[in-house]
Amino acid sequence: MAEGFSADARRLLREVGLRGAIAVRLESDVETTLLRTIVDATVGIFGAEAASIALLDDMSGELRFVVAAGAQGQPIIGMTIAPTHGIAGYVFSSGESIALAEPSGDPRFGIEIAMRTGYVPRSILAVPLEDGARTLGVLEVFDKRDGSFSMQDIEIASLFARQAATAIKVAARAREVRVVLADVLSADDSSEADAAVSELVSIATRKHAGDDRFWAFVEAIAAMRHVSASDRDLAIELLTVIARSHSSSRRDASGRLSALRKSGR
Amino acid sequence: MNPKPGMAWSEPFRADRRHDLDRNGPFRGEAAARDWRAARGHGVTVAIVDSGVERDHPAVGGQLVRSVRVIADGDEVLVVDDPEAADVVGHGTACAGIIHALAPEAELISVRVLGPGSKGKGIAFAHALDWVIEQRIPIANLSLSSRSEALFATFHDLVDQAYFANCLFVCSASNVPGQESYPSLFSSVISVAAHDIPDPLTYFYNPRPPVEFGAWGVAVPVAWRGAGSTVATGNSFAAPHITGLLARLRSVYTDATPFEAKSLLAQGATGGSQDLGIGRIG
Repeated sequence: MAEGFSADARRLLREVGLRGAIAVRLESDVETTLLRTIVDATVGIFGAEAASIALLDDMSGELRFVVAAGAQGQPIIGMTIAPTHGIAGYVFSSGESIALAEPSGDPRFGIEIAMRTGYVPRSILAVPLEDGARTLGVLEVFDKRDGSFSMQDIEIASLFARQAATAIKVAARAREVRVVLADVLSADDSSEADAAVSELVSIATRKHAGDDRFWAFVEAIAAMRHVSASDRDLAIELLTVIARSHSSSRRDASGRLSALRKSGR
Repeated sequence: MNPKPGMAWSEPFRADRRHDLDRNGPFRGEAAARDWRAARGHGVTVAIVDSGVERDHPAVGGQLVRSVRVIADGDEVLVVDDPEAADVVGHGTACAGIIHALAPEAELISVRVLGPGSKGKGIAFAHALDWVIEQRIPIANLSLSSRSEALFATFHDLVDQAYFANCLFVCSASNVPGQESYPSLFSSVISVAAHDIPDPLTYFYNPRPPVEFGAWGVAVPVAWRGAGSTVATGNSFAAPHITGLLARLRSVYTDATPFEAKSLLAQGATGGSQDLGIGRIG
């Protein structure tokens, strides 16, 4: 495969393939997990009835509710709305955050979703999820228990939204690895590109194919997401110490890097 | 607006032209004694660049005289009349209601850039501003902004054009501190953020920009779509308070430049530690 590439290019492609393979193992559901963590934290911090994240579905052009927290929020998961209607639609299309309370004139609050879930919130805070200039979706918080939403609440929610946007971006990059490789390997024939990518990934991971210890290591790292914060801290410390001793022994072997570091100070 | 081609920059100041500079403006003579603060916006037109304005909403008081939509589809951008005058969200109607309450005689024009058919919102927004300047509308409420880096220069150029054309752009600051959003961060616009004192006439001047004015924007009772109402929070609802006050100001000082209007506005602002109610205008 890919005979036209130089040795360097092939080495780089294999590197990318390996990273992609590891990323898929590590990140399979990281996006949803992270987003769920964010809505859970949002509900907790605001003392809200519910929170949700809706993302633009590029295929359908609709906003899809991917995660929600709080009992009132659960029915919303999986629902879709037009990206121009209601509060979520306004925030999505304008990029402006907003907090609303006490709907008196329009009991539906202009939200199609409230009709379908039967849950009519008394107050809503909605902020956009933004990745640079592009709006990815909307984070909404419903019914703050003690009082109405403030400007500060909008600012705090915006920080959560920024985290969510970063999580989405990172996960998307991992998924894109295969697509990027396919593009690089074959611009015109996608069926061959798929085969070429599989081949490349298998070549890239061959070194580790029988290496159960390596994949066990990757799986263990992936599992770290579910352990308690203190256990995770311990694991991070251990890994940092091991990595540091490994890299410093390598540096000492060459001598140059550590010498540079010293003279630089 | 811009100097005529071939005209020297120094020409307005030449001896035979200096009589053109004889203008009292708002600060000299009889004009300085006038009180704009009790005016009602008579003779002033205000554009609301937003999600549309519901023409028949009671809070708009029948003052919506025109409604247009900006439709961006690919490279094609069109400004078309929107006889239905609908607001698919309620946000634009909320802004219109706030402006109308403060300047009941001002005429309102809705420039809808949000809602169905508004792909490429940054481009549509830029075209909306261009249209407002071209129509020589003296005040525009922009309770929205763009974060498009690609359009930075375009917006910069547009706000300068507006400034030279005597068009006041009143922009809500981003609700996210530190976030760069345009045109609210440009110095030639009037940028507004929210305060939480429930009084539409209490507003502050901040001598440490970028955001220069603070108006009521927390838990504001506003009009909403479907002849409805709600209580809204955000810088979006602070900006129209300042817009309404500027409509009052412009109805008294019709030819005040943006620079003069800003100064008058700052002069009438409530002091930070002032006993609220005494400093408020009415």
